[in-house]
Amino acid sequence: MDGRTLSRRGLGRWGSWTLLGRSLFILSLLVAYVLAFRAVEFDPANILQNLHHLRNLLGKMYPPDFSHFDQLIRPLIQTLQISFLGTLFGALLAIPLVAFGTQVVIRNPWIYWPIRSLMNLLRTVPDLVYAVLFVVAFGYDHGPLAGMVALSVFSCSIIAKLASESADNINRRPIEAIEATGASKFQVIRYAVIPQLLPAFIDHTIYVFELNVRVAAVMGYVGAGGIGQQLLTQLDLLKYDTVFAIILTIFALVVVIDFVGNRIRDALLHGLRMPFPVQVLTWVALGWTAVWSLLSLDVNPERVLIGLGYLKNLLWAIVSSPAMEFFNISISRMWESLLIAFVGTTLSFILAFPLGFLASRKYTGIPSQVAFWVKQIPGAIRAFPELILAIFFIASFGPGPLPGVLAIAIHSIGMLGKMNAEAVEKIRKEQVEALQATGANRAQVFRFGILPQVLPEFLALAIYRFEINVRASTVLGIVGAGGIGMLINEALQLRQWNIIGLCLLVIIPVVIVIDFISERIRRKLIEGSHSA
Amino acid sequence: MNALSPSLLPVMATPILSIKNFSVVYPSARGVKALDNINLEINQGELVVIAGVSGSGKSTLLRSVNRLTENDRAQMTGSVVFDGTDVLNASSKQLRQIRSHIGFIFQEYNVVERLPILTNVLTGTLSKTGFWASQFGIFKEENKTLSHQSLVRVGIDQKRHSDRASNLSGGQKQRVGIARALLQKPRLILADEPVASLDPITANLVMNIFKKINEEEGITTIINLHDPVLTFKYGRRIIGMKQGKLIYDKPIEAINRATFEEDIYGRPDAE
Ligand SMILES: Nc1ncnc2c1ncn2[C@@H]1O[C@H](COP(=O)(O)OP(=O)(O)O)[C@@H](O)[C@H]1O
Ligand SMILES: [Mg+2]
Repeated sequence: MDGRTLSRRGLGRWGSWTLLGRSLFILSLLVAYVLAFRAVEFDPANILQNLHHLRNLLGKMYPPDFSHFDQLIRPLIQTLQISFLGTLFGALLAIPLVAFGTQVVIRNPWIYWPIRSLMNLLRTVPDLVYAVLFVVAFGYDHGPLAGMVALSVFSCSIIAKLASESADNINRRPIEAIEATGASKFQVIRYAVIPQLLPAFIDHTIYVFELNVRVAAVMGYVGAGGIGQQLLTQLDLLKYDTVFAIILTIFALVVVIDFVGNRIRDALLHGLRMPFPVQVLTWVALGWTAVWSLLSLDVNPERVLIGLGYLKNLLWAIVSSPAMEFFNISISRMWESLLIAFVGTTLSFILAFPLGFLASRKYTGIPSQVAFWVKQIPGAIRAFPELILAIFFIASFGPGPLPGVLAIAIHSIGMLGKMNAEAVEKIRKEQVEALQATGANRAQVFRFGILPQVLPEFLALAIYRFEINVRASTVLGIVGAGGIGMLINEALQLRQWNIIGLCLLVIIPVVIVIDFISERIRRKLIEGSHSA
Repeated sequence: MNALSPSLLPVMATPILSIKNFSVVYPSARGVKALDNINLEINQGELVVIAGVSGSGKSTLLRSVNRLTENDRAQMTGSVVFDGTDVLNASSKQLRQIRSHIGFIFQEYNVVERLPILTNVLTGTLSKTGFWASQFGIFKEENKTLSHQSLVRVGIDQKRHSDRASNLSGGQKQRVGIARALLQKPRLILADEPVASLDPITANLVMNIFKKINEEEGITTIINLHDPVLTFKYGRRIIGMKQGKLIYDKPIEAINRATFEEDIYGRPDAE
């Protein structure tokens, strides 16, 4: 074998490409991006030109007008109650799904696969689409109730998914040990599975509560109760200073909830055991909050059953006779949603890349105070729900895909910045030193010693974020930010529910396919390819 | 002396590595010296083993030679001269030059797990690769061929060269580390406990690779070991360290086997 074939076999894919091949690949990627950016109306010149609209808007928003704050208190409490009950019922509904949806204890594929499929199906529907469906089914008079039920289903889907992933990864040895004693399935669950899974389950539940507060804060926009309804009213009245006051209130609420939630989850992660009286107090407080919320939201089982019955009929009607005359338009709108998510995620990947390094003192050597403040940026950004960002950008740039792109790009920095920084913290110093020791310069040490350690993580995180953003971009249109959500909005205005049915039939398969491909790519990135 | 070829004589005269009055303090150590007034000369072609219990300063000594100790913000005083260049006062460009002539091998192998095995070895040529070529991962064909050859030489099968390095066993990773060092065409090899994480059989295999490289190519080699059996088996000259001081330095022929362990490590019940 001569050197050429040797190296061809040796370097594998990218490494074995010729310079021409690499250039062509990069060029076609660039062309694809230019086309995608044009399709979502992302034009830097235009953005710069319209920047004064944004400045005007900020001028109208500032200073915030808190004079009607007393009118915000009730909706604010309602938002919390909706999130709390939604999370609680979601967690309760998730328990059976988790118990039967993993192969830890019950290894019967006839039980496992249908439940897994149901879980994946539930997870494909975006949060606000649930809200729309339940508001339509329950009637606008029962908005808060509809919001609560919508959040229950939404929470259930996420908790079940996260918890069953945790369950798949639990330690099998204690299970075998208990099984070996001749214990029954239920005893195995009680003594080997629950003790291992409970901390993760509670962790996921608190995390979902944090998510729910964001969703519940904006769900009022489609009539599902909470503070979002106030936001809509004030926007219609063009009272931007009051709008800003509401946004700041939501921001403060989310920050406080995130802070408390993170503290509790950290404590759980470090194996905190609460003393018995505190445990009792916690359960009493949770029970009391549940009862109080149920009473003040006027949750009535009969009403819920009637609503669910109506939802069943509605779903059947709209899905069995979708508005096929809108099929072409729904496909092109869905494509636009995908492009919005794609461009938005790309932008946030680029913005979050340096953020990950700046938030970690390890390899940048920046002063610790700077690193501390940089670390706070993602958390602060994450506290602004996408929908609110979208509304803000629509008010500046007018409706269309661009506000959607901007909202997604900025909101995603929150998660990506934080997780990138965590990946940077995990960089192994030894691998960096090996490169330094060869006499490589800083750029080379970065390229070969640091980048391979973080880039697969950064990319996998961005691709995962893309999954989430596809869901977001399908609903942002409800407020006017482009994509298939615009169609949902029109359907709502025209009360043409079978258009919503069509949208569901388009969104669900697309999301399923994207989730599937994304998971494949992510696994490949992290684990690498094995060529034996 | 007649056996020596004339060309070797001047090289013997100037040591490849010369360390004088050298001390190191880590900032977190509150003034305790990790190395305390070390004086040492290493000649061209030697195979030296540095022995000592853990914490005696072996790693610090090797890592000072290419100033990796700077990563731990160590304060260094005295002088280290490698191949006629003052290491401690070298500019960052000179330092990279010095580092490119020294192959360094680590206890934890320090391969970049996510990179293919071959690319790991090719990183040994980075100091001679241009900026853009290295950013795009383009290496010279001759270096790729050399990398394959040197991997095969240390016993990594051809068909694995494009695998990610994370798929290798510890002993194989260490061989990749050695192949990487060889690609630097080093004038000096420094190996910091290269076999401490390996089983005895693999450890001997790896030590034999060092021995062979030293014998066949005459590359000066310094190896840190804490294991007395391996020290005695492979060292041609043995240096003992204790609490940051150099306490022992003899060619293998002059070593008294009976007292050697006690001389270097001390008596276990003496403390
Ligand atoms: N990065 C560091 N920071 C502070 N002290 C260190 C560091 N590395 C080593 N030391 C200290 O320096 C002394 C020598 O350590 P080292 O050179 O690693 O010895 P050896 O390699 O022989 O085990 C020890 O007392 C050790 O605790
Ligand atoms: Mg050491």
